[in-house]
Amino acid sequence: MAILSLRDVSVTYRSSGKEVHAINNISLDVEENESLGIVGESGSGKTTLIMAVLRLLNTKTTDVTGEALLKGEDIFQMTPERLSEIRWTEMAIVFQKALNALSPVHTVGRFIGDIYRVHKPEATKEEIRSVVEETFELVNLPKRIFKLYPHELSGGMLQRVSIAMSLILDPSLLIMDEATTALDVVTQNQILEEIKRLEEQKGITRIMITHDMSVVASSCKKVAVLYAGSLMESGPTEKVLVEPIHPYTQGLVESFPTFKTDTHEPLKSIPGSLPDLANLPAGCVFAPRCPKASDICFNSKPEMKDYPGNRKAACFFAGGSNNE
Amino acid sequence: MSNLKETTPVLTCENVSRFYRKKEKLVKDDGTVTRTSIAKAVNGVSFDLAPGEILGVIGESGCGKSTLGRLIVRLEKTSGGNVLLQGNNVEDLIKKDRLGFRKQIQMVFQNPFDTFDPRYTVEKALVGTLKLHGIGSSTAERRDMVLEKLNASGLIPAKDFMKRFPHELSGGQLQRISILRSMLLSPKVLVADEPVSMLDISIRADIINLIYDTARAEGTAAVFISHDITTTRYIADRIAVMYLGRIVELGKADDIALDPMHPYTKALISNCSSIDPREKREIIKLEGEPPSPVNIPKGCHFAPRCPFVKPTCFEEEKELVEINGRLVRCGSAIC
Ligand SMILES: Nc1ncnc2c1ncn2[C@@H]1O[C@H](COP(=O)(O)OP(=O)(O)O)[C@@H](O)[C@H]1O
Ligand SMILES: Nc1ncnc2c1ncn2[C@@H]1O[C@H](COP(=O)(O)OP(=O)(O)O)[C@@H](O)[C@H]1O
Ligand code: SF4
Ligand SMILES: [Mg+2]
Ligand SMILES: [Mg+2]
Repeated sequence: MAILSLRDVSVTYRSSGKEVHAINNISLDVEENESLGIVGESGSGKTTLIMAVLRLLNTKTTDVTGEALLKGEDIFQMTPERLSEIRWTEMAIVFQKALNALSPVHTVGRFIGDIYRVHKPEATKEEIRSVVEETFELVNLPKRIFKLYPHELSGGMLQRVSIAMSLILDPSLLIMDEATTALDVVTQNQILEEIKRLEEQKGITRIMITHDMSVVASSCKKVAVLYAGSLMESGPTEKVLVEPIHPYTQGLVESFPTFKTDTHEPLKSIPGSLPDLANLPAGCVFAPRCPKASDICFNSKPEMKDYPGNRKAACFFAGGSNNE
Repeated sequence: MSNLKETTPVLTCENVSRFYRKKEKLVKDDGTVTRTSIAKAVNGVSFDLAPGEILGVIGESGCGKSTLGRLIVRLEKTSGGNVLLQGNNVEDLIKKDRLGFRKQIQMVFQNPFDTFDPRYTVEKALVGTLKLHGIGSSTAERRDMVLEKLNASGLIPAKDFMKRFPHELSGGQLQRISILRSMLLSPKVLVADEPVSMLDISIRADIINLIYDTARAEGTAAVFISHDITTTRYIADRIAVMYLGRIVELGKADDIALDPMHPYTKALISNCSSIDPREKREIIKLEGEPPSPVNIPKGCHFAPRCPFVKPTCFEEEKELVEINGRLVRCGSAIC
């Protein structure tokens, strides 16, 4: 069963007389226990999409349309009471900047205990302490950091604290927005391993939002590729990142330097830059940069279509390679 | 490499160190104490750079890469040791002729938006740089030089880019302009500190190729600082691996990347990112957190996290020794 289903979700920011179409008609399903990576470059709308799902966008300056069904219940229609009920308990988030999410004036143990207390007012001090301790253990945090303030912790520890915080109320959906981006590869790999283990233990489904395809490759079963607010391609990670069928994904994968890259061949890039979201192209959003684009691409929008192997892509010429 | 050695190095670091004094709060079980401690950010680094050579410097954050970069371009003074440009101490060079020195060693930073005055157009910034260094005889001539460089690097139409302000450019475009600004001066050495870390994957290649091509064309030597070994291997002739302010291994880029010897290099490379989920990777796990240069362990700095650690490693630190054409600091890797 899909734990989260997005149906035709669009987000438009209205700022200084302009309409910024940050997310355009996105539909996707996140199946239970199938961690999903949403990859996209900066400005592709990753944070916008998640903030919309979490209902954290400013409703005065932002239009959100479509449906976001959490176990069948539309988040966009929830009352504020219902919303605060499900935050942390059903759906938790870890941001990139852990330090901003934590209170600077409280020790981390105290801060996390407080979150638990708010949702479980009847809990005793002992219960809170043991739950926090248990959660810290899950993410390999030593007990001694209970008494520390956020600024006294290293980046890796802070991120572990954020993850512990998101797990404390046993959510079924965990959303991570660039949560490991600021960390060194060694620490990042360690945390990803821990998260994968946790997921299995606790039956959590994770959405991993990142610009880094390698994070998705090593930690997600499914991947969805976002470009300029539109979905380009989605499917099983081992298919999409190995044999991408959408020209944009193909370009991304080719730009990623690997040890297999012949060091005497020039590295590849995708020429051009992101379109103006206030003035989107009439056809495919990738057409101005696409090596395969032909007339139809500039005039009509390609729909997301099914392809063999449980894959989807939005391209009139999906399949084949970029070099044809 | 043998023919590189015959020429005089363009840049030499002789036992270069940089220590910072830090006020530190220590939390112990029985209360909190404050004390002043010393962070050994860069600790006895030596290497030569041949003219036109590109040296990659890699390591986890906090290992001293940026500090080393700032010491080389003399944005900071060393606490010990010397940096030499073509055999001359940079302290003397900068005292004699600050501007002339700056022209010869240029630095490119991670965030290009920090290095441009937001009130100046690209034209004003770049023409201004040329004028400051007395290159070109008239504004018209300088404009032409800038136009030519922009065009050649694919910032087309160059006339259009000249009129723009930094905030009207993408990070990738401004970083390219930042590199061109440095290279307009035909420096002897270019230090690039994580020049692509902030940029999207799909445009990184443009920056890497630009540094590589212009450095090669001008015969400029470069120090390419990065935490990403795949990119570094691509651009660099040699790679130095740093850990806690020290070089632990230094050798030809392919040797380091494909056949690392030092346990830390091995671990770093085994952890390097791949986008192929099918790849079976033997990731070497490291115990604990990346340490701080304030409490450097006795003996081998890496011992507390090293998967190959032996009791003797905690007692005495090994010297960098030459093995199979590279320098490496640890015997565990060999025996
Ligand atoms: N409050 C806002 N007002 C107007 N535009 C915004 C606002 N927040 C984000 N945007 C724009 O929406 C687009 C998507 O941004 P974001 O969701 O942050 O992308 P990502 O997280 O993928 O980098 C960008 O072009 C950004 O400039
Ligand atoms: N100006 C400074 N004052 C005090 N400590 C510093 C200063 N600059 C760097 N450091 C410390 O020196 C160490 C090396 O830092 P840095 O050179 O920035 O490493 P890297 O670039 O490899 O991440 C770090 O522990 C850092 O905190
Ligand atoms: S629809 Fe056309 S422009 Fe868009 S990705 Fe496919 S080929 Fe390229
Ligand atoms: Mg974002
Ligand atoms: Mg740095």
